[in-house]
Amino acid sequence: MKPRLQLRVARAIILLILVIIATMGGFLTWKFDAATQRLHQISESTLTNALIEQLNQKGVDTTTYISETLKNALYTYDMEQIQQQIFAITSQKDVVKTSVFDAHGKIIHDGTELINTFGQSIPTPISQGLENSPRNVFIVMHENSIDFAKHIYIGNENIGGIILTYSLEHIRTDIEQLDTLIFQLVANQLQDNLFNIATIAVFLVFLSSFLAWRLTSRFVEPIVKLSEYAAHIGSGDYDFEMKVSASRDEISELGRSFNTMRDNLKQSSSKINHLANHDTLTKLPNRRLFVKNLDLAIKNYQRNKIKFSLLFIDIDNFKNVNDSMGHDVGDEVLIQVTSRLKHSIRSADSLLVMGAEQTQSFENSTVSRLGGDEFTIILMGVSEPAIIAHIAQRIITNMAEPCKVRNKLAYIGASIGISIFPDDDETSSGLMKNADIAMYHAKEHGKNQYQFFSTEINNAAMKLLTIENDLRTALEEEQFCLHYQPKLDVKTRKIVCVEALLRWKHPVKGDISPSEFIPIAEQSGQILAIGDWVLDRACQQLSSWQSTEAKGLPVAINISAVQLAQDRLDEAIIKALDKYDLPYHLLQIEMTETAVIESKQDACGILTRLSEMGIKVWMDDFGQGYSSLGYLSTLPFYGLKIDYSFIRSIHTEEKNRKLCQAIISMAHNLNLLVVAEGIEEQEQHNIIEGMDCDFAQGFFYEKPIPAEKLFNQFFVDSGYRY
Amino acid sequence: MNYPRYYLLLLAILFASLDASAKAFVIGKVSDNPQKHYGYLKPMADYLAKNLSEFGYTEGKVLMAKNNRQMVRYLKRKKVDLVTETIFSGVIFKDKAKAELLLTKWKKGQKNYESLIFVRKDSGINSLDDFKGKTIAFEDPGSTSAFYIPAAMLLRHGLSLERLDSVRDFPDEESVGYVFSNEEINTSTWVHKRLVQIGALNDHDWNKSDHLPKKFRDDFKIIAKSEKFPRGVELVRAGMSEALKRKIKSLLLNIHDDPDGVHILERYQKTARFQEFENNIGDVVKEARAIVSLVDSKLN
Repeated sequence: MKPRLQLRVARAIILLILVIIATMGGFLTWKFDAATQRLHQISESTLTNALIEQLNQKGVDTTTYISETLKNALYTYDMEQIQQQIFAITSQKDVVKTSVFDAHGKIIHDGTELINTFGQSIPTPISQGLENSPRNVFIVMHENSIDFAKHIYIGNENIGGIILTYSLEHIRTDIEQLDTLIFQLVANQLQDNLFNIATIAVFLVFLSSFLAWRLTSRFVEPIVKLSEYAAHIGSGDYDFEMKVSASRDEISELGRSFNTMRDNLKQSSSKINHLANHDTLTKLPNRRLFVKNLDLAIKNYQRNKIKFSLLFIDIDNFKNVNDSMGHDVGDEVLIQVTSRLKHSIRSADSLLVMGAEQTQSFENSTVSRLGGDEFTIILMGVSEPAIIAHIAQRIITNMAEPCKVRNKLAYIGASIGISIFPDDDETSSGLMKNADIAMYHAKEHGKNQYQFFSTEINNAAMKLLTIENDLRTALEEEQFCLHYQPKLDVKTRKIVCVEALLRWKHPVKGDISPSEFIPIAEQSGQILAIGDWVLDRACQQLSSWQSTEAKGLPVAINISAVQLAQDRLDEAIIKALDKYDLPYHLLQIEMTETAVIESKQDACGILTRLSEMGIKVWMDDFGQGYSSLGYLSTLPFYGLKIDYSFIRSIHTEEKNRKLCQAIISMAHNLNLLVVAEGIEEQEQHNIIEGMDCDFAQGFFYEKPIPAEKLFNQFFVDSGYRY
Repeated sequence: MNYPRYYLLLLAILFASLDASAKAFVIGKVSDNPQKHYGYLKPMADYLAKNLSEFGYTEGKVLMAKNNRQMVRYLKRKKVDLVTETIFSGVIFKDKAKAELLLTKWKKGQKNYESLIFVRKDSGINSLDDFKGKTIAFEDPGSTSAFYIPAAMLLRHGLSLERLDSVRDFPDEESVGYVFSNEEINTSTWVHKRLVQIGALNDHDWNKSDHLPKKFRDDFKIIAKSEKFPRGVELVRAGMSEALKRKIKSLLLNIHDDPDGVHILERYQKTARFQEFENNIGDVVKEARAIVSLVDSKLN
């Protein structure tokens, strides 16, 4: 991990130091600059004063001197001499103007060839000044020049005078040059200073960077460590101990707090972990952990080549126990089941005679609860079918013992599906699916059984699965249709009703028998949607018939247990009839006794309400199952349908003939009408006619046919009218 | 053999040879600035001495006199061999020291010169008749062209001249005041600045801007001009042999053709050449003598 924090802190400190150094450097430079500027000003003014003073002295001296030397020339008006004298003076660079004037203050020479100023009066200030101090040099300061004036005397006679004008320009130039020089010096000095400051600054920056880095690393290093530990914790690794120095500073405190936090996190994490991976009721590994364990077992095989088997256990009758005895009892039962399963494995140790390593591996076997009444067991190192069968049987035996819960006995069992790794599949999902298939197979074959996975049951399961899958699209793609088989009055052989029978025309597999797909649809729950479709389609057919000769011909539909288990089946039926505005009596219902029993809902209430609305309810397949007379008397059946297994041999087996006679008689006694289904021969017809059976149905009369065909046959061709 | 006699003879020969080796050819001049004039004259003295070796001259020398009187004394004592002067001084040396006029000298390239009397154009003075009560500036009392000649012109015109001490003085209304300016530039400046009303200069100075700036000249007008006089003359002392005189004359007349002589001429007051006197030299000498006489008698 890069020490970014340290970098940032160090950078900030270095920046701060830089700012301080820069500020100090700037301040010093500014101070120096100000000082040199002051020095500059002082030196300039001092120099100016000195130079002007010097010039004054020179002016006074020169004026005094020239006033002496000019005496004769002035007296004699010797212009040549005067000019030469003036020339001698004006050759001094500072003298810019010279005026020699007479006793009247009129200029008589100015040093030029033409003496253009000849005869002009000298400036009044000078003449007045000279009057006040006749013997002295009179000085007049101007902006850029100085005038020096003096009278010239011969004896006591004033014969005129001289004015010398000195320019200050040269002084200014000198001062400017000096200024430039000083400025240059100062600039050089400033440059030196800056260089020195820069050198010191660079040194200080390096030093401070080093120190800042050292200092920050002292502070940041523990933080970096904390950060690393935090990363460990973040990834769920609590197995470390942070070294905390004994000192009582904040960082050590932080370290200690960190360790405490880690302990707490570790605890709560393991709690959460346990909760996430275990079933709260049984404390067994849940589905999540089971899958993990299964994957581990597979990985383990890849390393150690240790095979294992998977037992998929479904507790039989648990749903009943739960429903009838309550969930508390159910929970208790599950706890007992858990201990029995564990016990079954442990006690299975003694069964193992395979060798020490097998025992060893076997100890790793785990029981898991996938949810509800589903359990799994992974038997590590156990792949011998014989041993597995032994253990499975032991589980079944143990489960068969009734559970005693709150002084009640709950009867349960176990259906076990078994798959072996890697023989049956090499993936965890495949292994689970196979065990599941095997378990269902076991259940279908009567429960309390164990079943090894095999290709055959897999194929069967696959077929079921295919049908189940195909069923999903069947409705959408209108692969279903209804065929109608007439029920006839046995005596008049007139049609009294038609039974709507579902037909599935699979686009690839062709016609699929209802016996093949209806159980699957019931199991998968798809029967509900299919039932609705049948109901709607039957009503539609009824509706279309009402405007034809078939008007008033009732249609019977079959209702399965699953449908019956629906809360509002009656409402759905009424709604469908209302949709097509049909009289309720035109629809009839057929359902098996089993359906009534299995529905467990308020089947009685539903059926009562339907029959009260005028919908006739028939008991289908009477004779199979319990054939409880109780139901016949308590439920509002309109009639019953004798199971075709009796009719099939009614003409060959006297026992069946008698049974049929008894059913018919009994039904009639209970005011129930009777239908004989499956009539295929004249002989059969004759017999039931003789038995005074009310209605009959079967290939002898007509097989199930499309509505149109039926209509044509019974209402157009024969001119039959119901 | 008489030894003392030989000794005497030998001494005589020795003295003679010493005398000969020390003999110098001397050029003289009246000068108030000997240092300046020495440089002008020395090369000519050397040139002549060299070319007159046949006459025993071994070196050239220069001798300055403070004034004409001293020069007259030098000439009388034969301390100078050749004198270069104006015609007026020449007349004095001729009269008082018997010096002999030899050649005329084109001093400063001029053969002749004349005096000019001038005033400011705006002075209201138009002729010599307007001079009364005015002041004239001459150069100095020794000047021929800027004193003797113009003064003589005024005197001959019937004007009386009154010497003034200073330009600040004023003359009698009936007289013409005069002052000496000492320098040509003073003369022109005084006139121009109206310190005096009249000025006198020779024609050569009139045209020289360092003596009369052009600006000044533009403001002036000339009232009168004198007759022309030779610019300069060469005289030889009295008692010089004819051969030597001839030889000197010949050297000077030809010096402007001698490549070595040209530079010497240039130094010798910018002389262009030497020339024989014209025929009227006698009149010129007379006139000069008259002028000097007139001025000296009236003013000195």
